[in-house]
Amino acid sequence: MRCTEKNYINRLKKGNEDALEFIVDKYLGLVKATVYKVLSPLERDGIIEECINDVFLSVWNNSNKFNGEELEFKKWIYKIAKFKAIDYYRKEIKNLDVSLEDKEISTNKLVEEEIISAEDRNELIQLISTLEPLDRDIFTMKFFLGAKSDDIAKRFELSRAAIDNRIYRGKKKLSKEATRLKLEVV
Amino acid sequence: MKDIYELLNDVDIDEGEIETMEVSDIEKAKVKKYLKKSIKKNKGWKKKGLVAAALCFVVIGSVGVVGITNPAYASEIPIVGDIFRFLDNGRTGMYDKYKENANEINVTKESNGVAITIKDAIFDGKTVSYTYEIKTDKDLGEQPMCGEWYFNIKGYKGGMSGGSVIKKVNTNTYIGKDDYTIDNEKDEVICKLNISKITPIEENVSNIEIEGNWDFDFSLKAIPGNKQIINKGTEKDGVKANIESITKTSMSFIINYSQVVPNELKKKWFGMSLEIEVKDDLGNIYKGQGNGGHGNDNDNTMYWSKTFGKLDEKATKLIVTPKMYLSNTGGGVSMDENGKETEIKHTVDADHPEKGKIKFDDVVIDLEK
Repeated sequence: MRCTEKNYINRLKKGNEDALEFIVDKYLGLVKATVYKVLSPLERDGIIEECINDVFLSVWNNSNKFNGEELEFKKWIYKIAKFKAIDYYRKEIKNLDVSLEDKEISTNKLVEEEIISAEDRNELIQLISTLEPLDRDIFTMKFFLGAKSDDIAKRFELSRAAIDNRIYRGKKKLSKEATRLKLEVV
Repeated sequence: MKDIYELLNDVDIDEGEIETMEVSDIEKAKVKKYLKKSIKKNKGWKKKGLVAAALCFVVIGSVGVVGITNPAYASEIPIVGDIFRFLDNGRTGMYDKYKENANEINVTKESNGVAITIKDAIFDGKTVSYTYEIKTDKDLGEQPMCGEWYFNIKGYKGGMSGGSVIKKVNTNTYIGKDDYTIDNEKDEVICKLNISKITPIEENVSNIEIEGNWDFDFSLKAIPGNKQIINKGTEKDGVKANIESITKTSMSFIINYSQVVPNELKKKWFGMSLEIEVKDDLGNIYKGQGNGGHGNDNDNTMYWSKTFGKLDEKATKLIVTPKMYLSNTGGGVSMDENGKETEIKHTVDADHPEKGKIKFDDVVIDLEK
């Protein structure tokens, strides 16, 4: 059986390599545009390519976690690309001697930045998944996809103040949890 | 308990924000090739850490590049004709005129099953760049490093800064480019390159180390350049940024510039690097590559240089925007004459913030014809 527009998502989930090739043909332009937008200001050779490869590998390794139809799949790949690119960007900024920094990151070191900079990002993901569904979505958009509060507000048809308020409360909760986790480790 | 891929799946976004861009078949093929290899090698693939470059003097590091966006030179793969351009990946356009100006060297040395060929070399008066090809009988991973790789310029005793790129282009075939920048300018350089060890850096192949003896000598005359003394600066928050000079050659232009920082700032910040952005009066924005800088710790002055692509001949003015990046993170290694390394480190506290930036006013330079 050949891989086609109709069956590639299923074939990917079953672990057929031809589906991955199909996805590269179909979505490389999307992934490249997304990654390029975030990482090109770093002017660092190789990082864009590395990130793009990483995005497709993650799609491959996590295909069983995808749930939905073609349009959702396109969005999923886009979100993974954006998340990875931001992740690479943050790491790179930290590694650089001559820092090309992002204003937001440097001027207000938010609690979640600190958690992210704590080596283990998985911990933050764990913490976020303990929030209630709406907050979980807001946090994912804000901190993994780099969305602005205004855009999130529009998306959920809430006011900006309501989003900020939820973020504020969520952060407080996370910060408490994070401290507790740390204490447990010690 | 959800993981990030599930969280991302849950969040809905607007399809309208998704953008796409053109990609060539070669780019697609490269990604596929990489994926196939990674899947086979390791089912539970883990992202390899970013490669940390060891700092000698100042290493402006850059790693390999793939993805060919410009079909005009796609035909040059896998036999890479213009390595300068190939490794630049058409991104900065800085090396577009290098190949035609370079000296063809094409000297191959073989030792212990490894053939190294120095392909082209070029000297712009300040920076020596050469390209090379390595053919081996073993797989050295994606980015082999040069374990013992000594580059000398006869009669030159100062520090050198540089960068290096290496890229796998085919099975057991690698191409690379090294740049070495010296402090002052010279008309001619006699270069010696002694390679005695090649070390892969990826974990799965790191046990392979190839020792051998690959020695090269070549001399290069500087590409005739036209140097214009500028000595024009700007000052902000007590920091002086000065554009010292511009050298134009047939393939590039080099801006030499310097920074002078006041003592109180030196106490506050560990890293203070001046960067420049350059455009001309015709609206061209030039991308360049920093050559690193040199200075003395007892002195508050640092001298930098940055190389850009070919200058548009119709331009009459250059607009240089200096920016100073301040930081208290990172570190490095300083090395004395005997090769003894001392680690340089710094801490972040209330008086020493992590990062800062000073943006200066533009310096406008009238170009001599």
